[in-house]
This record gives sequence, structure tokens and C-alpha cells, in this order.
Amino acid sequence: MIWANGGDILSADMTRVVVNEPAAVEAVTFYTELFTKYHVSPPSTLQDDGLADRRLFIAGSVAMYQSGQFDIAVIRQENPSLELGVAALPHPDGKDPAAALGGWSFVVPKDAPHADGAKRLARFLGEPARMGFFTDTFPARTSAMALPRFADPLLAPFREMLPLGRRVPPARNWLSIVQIFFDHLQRVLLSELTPQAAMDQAAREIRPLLDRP
Amino acid sequence: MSQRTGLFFVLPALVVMALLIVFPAIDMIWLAATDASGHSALAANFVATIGTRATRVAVWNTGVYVCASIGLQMVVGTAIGILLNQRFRGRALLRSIVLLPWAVPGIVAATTWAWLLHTEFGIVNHDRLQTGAVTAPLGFLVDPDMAMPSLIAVNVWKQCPFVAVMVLAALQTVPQELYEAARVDGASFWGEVRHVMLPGIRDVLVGVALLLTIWGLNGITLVYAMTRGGPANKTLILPIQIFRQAFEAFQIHEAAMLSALFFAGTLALVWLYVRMSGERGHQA
Repeated sequence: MIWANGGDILSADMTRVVVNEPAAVEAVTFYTELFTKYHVSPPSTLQDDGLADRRLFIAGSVAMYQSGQFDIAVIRQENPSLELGVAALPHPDGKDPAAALGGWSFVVPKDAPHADGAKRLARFLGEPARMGFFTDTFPARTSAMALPRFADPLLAPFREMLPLGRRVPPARNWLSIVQIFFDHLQRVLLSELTPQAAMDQAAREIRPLLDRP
Repeated sequence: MSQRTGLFFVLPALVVMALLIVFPAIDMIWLAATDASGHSALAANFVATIGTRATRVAVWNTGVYVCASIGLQMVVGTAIGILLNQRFRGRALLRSIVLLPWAVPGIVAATTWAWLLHTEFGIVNHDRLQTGAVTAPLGFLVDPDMAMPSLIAVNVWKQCPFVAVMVLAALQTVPQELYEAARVDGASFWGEVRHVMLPGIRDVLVGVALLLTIWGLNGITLVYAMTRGGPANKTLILPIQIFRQAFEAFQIHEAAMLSALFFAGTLALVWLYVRMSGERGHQA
């Protein structure tokens, strides 16, 4: 949501913390007010992980939640009568949605004793038909998307999101930075701090991590 | 048998201990004192560790969690032990039932309680809502004022039986004559508890308190499985902070520094206990 609003946790060159700048704070305000002000997020929001979110959805306790295409099969299996629809992530008017993009790679060590053989195997597995067959999410090659298994109309919104996916920055101490961000996001959800105060404090705690090895 | 032969016999045990305890401890201290390139960074690691807000929060939370847990475990466990020492029908059955929470594996107990207390799915909230006693579910594990007390309550439930069994066993060693003498002097049941039972099992209570302290300080399972330190670090305890730093953020050197400080704190408590028991031994 921060990305969709044009903000970020760190600047593009990863030298500055920008999580307390207006674009990020606006997004944090929007997200946290769903819980603190509008009460449209369930009371258990602070203890729900992806699995709990899915259970709440299957049980009919929440009308929508954010997830990946991997949940579709489980939802259909556990509650076949549920009318299921998928939409791209919401975003502010005039801006694009954004999502964190992840993936897996074949890696061949430089000094591997059979590097050529390994590369041949990687090329073989990277061909569209095989990539499309083996992946449990989406194939990295768009040509593999034409396979019948990706024809389900429910997958279309996920597919549309792929070009808008962004990688997380390869910043030093990134996992600690994210932890600090989430801790302060939770403090806003607990109404301990305003979004601006929480993000200011998060920025103060994140800043030293940029210089630390 | 000469001293050298004796040493020969204990050597395998010493080698195993060195490999499993001394080597990791030295490695931890080495990691705490260096950076990724192996250069000395003791002060930098110390400042980085102490300077982290989450670490300071974790120190406070650990103190609250351990002190409250142990206080309640000792009081409730001792009371149960004393009650189980009385003569009544079904005593053997009750003694077995009381042991159950302690016998349940930690991760099973924690996961079960996490579900029982879940705000949406939990049977506890479900029942309260069904009876009409309340209109909104209680956030046992998400309310900042309730998360820590809930964890302490589950920890007390889990460890109380251990205290009860130890107290019960210790009470068997208190000579019957002391009770008789107390009764001759007109002591009530409470008087017997105060002047016969508790003084008679004091050493056991101190030992149990020390064990509970060490287990409480190191007890990551319950808290990690139930709240993972949340919400907003309200239940973040030191073992979780060390785990996060080492295996989630991969800040191995800071995690080692925190581990070393934590280890020193635990060691100080053990030293205090050994000294206290030594002094009592001399007095006796």
C-alpha cells in the first residue's frame, strides 16, 4: 500500500529512510484506520497470519482478504458453496497497485565440477512447458502462461498484478528494518501512537541500520 | 586407584562436555566480541545490542514474565502440593490428574491454548459470547493489557504441577512428630503449614524456584507459539529477541552479544543460589 501510494520504507538508492514521509504515512493511516477507525478488519487482526486470514474467509467471518493464488484450491475444497472472486489490490486513484514480488532461481556455482551439465539442466527446466508444469505459483516466462492450467479466470487478476510486482530492496539489515516497521505499525493498530509518530520513531530506529555492516 | 586413573575414567565425559558446552560458549563469546570480518568489535556489538529498543523492551518483559510466573507457580503449586498431601478419597486419581499439564509437550500446550484463546475462533470467547455474558470478544492475546497476563496464566498452568509434585515429595520427608508436637501446642492447619510444612521443605522450594527461574528465562516455546512476541513487542522476551536477531535478521554477532549477556545474568542467579545453599549448609 505504501508502494501503491508512491512511498517506500527506504529511498531508491537505499541511503535514506523515507517511511515517515507523507506518501508512506498516508498509506499507513489508510491501512491502520481499517482496524482502528472503521472496524472493518476483524478484532483478531493483530494475531492473524495468512492461514488464519484464510480460515476467517472460509468461515465467512471476513468478506475479503489479501492473498495469493495458492489459496484458491484450498478455499474451493473447504467451502465449495462459497462464491469466490478475485480482484487486484486496491490503490489510490490515478496510481498503480503494487505488490512484493518473489521468486526462485537456478544457481550454478562457478566452481561446480559439472557446471555445463547443470546449466543444460537449468535450460531444460526453464523451457516454458516445464516451467509452467513445475511451478506452484506463476512461471517466470510469460510464454508459459498460455498453458491450460493458467486459464482459470480467477487467476487473471493475479496475472495482471505480475508486471506491477516489485522486488524488496537488497538493503543491508533488511529483515531487521521490516521488523521495526511492523512493530511500529502494530503500535498504531493498538492506538499507542499516531501513524506519523510511529513512522517517525521507526525511521529513527531504522536509520542506524543503514550504516551497520 | 590413583588420581590419574580416576581422571582417565572421567575423561570421556569431560571431552563430551567440552564439545557440547565449553566450545559453543567460547564460540559465542568470540562471535560477541568480533564483527563479520573477524575484527574486534566488542564495544560496537555491545552498544548496538543495548541500543536496540526491542532489546530493552525484551529485558523488561522477560523480568515481568519470569517474576510473575515464578511467584504464582510457587504459591499455587505449593498450595496444590499441600492439599494433595492431605488424606481424602480419590487422592491417587487427583494426584495423577494434576500432573497432566506438566506432561503435555510444551508446543502442544501452547498451540492448544493459542487456539482456545483466539479472538475469533477460540472456544473461550465463543462460550462467553454464546451465553450473552459479553457482546464483543476479548483479545486475550492481542489486547496489550491482556497478552502478557494470558501468557503468564498459561505458564503457571503448565509448571504448577511440577512445583506441586516436588512439594508433595518433600512433605513426605517432614517427620510426623513435628505435626504431632504442633497439634499438642494447639496449632491450627494454617499454623502447621506455616511452622511445620514450609520450614521443612524450604530447601526444596529454593531449588524448585531456581529451576523455574532458569526454565522461565529460557522458555521460548510457550511465548513464541502463542504470540511470537506481539502485539507490538508487548510479549517480546529475550530468547525470542535472540532468535529473531540470529535466525531471522542474521545479525549473528549482536545475537551472540545478547546471548552472552543473558547467559551472564542466568549464571549470576545460579551463583547466588549455590552461595545461598552453601551458607545454609554451613549454618546447619
